[in-house]
Amino acid sequence: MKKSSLIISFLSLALIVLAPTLFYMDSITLETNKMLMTIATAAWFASSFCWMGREKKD
Amino acid sequence: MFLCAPIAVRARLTLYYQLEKICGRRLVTLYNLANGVMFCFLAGSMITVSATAFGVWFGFPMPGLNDLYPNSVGWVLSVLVIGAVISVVAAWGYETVSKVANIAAPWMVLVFFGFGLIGLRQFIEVTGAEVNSISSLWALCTEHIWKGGEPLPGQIKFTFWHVTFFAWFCNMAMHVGMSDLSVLRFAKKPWHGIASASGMYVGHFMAWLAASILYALQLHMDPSNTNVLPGPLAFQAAGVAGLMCVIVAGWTTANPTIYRAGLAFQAIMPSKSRFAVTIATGLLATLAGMFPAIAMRLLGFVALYGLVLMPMGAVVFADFWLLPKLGLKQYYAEHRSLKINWAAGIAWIATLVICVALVKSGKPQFQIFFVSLPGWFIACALYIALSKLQQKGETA
Repeated sequence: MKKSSLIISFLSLALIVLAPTLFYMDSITLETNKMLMTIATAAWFASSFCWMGREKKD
Repeated sequence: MFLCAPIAVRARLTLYYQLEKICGRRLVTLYNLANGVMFCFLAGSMITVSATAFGVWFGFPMPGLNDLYPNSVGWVLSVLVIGAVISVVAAWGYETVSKVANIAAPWMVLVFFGFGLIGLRQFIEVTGAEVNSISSLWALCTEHIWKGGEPLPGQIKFTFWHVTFFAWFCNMAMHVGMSDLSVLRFAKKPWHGIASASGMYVGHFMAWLAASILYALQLHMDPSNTNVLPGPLAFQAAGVAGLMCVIVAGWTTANPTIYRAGLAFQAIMPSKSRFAVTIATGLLATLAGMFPAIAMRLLGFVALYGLVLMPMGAVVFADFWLLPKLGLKQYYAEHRSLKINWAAGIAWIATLVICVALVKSGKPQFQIFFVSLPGWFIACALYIALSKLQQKGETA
């Protein structure tokens, strides 16, 4: 669960950068960019709560 | 890294406790009051920033650049809701504040970067410019984005030096003013203070560069639209993610600021619980946030609040490093059980009076953005000279 949350978190951060980069390169429209950034934002907050700030159990 | 952290890792004290040892209980109470009030106004202006995102969602009228008072019920209600939530989180304590910040920070920095790219692309589209090299990008920037021009009536024209000094001094209370002693006392090495720089450089330079691109685009599209409203700007660029970024950016600044202000006020009233004091502090910040005058004059306010807190940072620096080398006693108030160390008090107030007089002289080199640099040396010199006078005949 924690590992999959971690992967989703990093993918969502990647998408946050990728969407505006694609828009800058004129590969997607502004509306698509907004939608992708919103999806990535929701994914980041949902997934990061699952692993960030939790103490490691020895 | 050079001023605050080396003292923090050696003394391992909060600013308030270290100042109490130097200045005495009464003087530090006065300082805490000034500190708390200033932090409340800063937090209030950040609540204002977050509320501009609510305005896009709910469509209520939002304040303009020259508005001083709240201009709609929707505005007041949204500031109230955001302020209440931030205050409760701050009152829960440092752990909650840092958890929210840890989750928000990496995402927020990347959204700032995205704002810049989106703004650049939109500029390319609306100007028809061809950008296929660094030089053509530079041409777009200098001809359309940062092209200069006269400031709006009542606003100061910002030059390269204004930006440089402001980027340095807008967090002056934290490093030069030594507020970060409270945080960096947990650092293992002095160079860990460089962590503050990453926040400042990313937070100030990158976010503000991106914000300026979006604002320049707004002016390019409609020169009459001079409103400085982060919510609509961010929504236009990144939709709901942009609005979230504005809310979270305001939140993550207001949250620790209310927490710090609560600590400053609680030091004045130690019998009250930190939770209750932080909630009351948050309400004061929320009240301040309802008045857009503070957020719309944020540059001047931040320079003022750094200026007010800076001399005490110079006093801490001089007391820690210079006084022992000059054969003078450190922590003089503690040493003599003084309620007020007049050397520190006069150094603080006299530095402020001198700096305000310089600002009032109207000379461009003495604008409020610049006076803190000479002010720091003035405060150091005054504190050393007055300590020498105060400790005449005593041995360290």
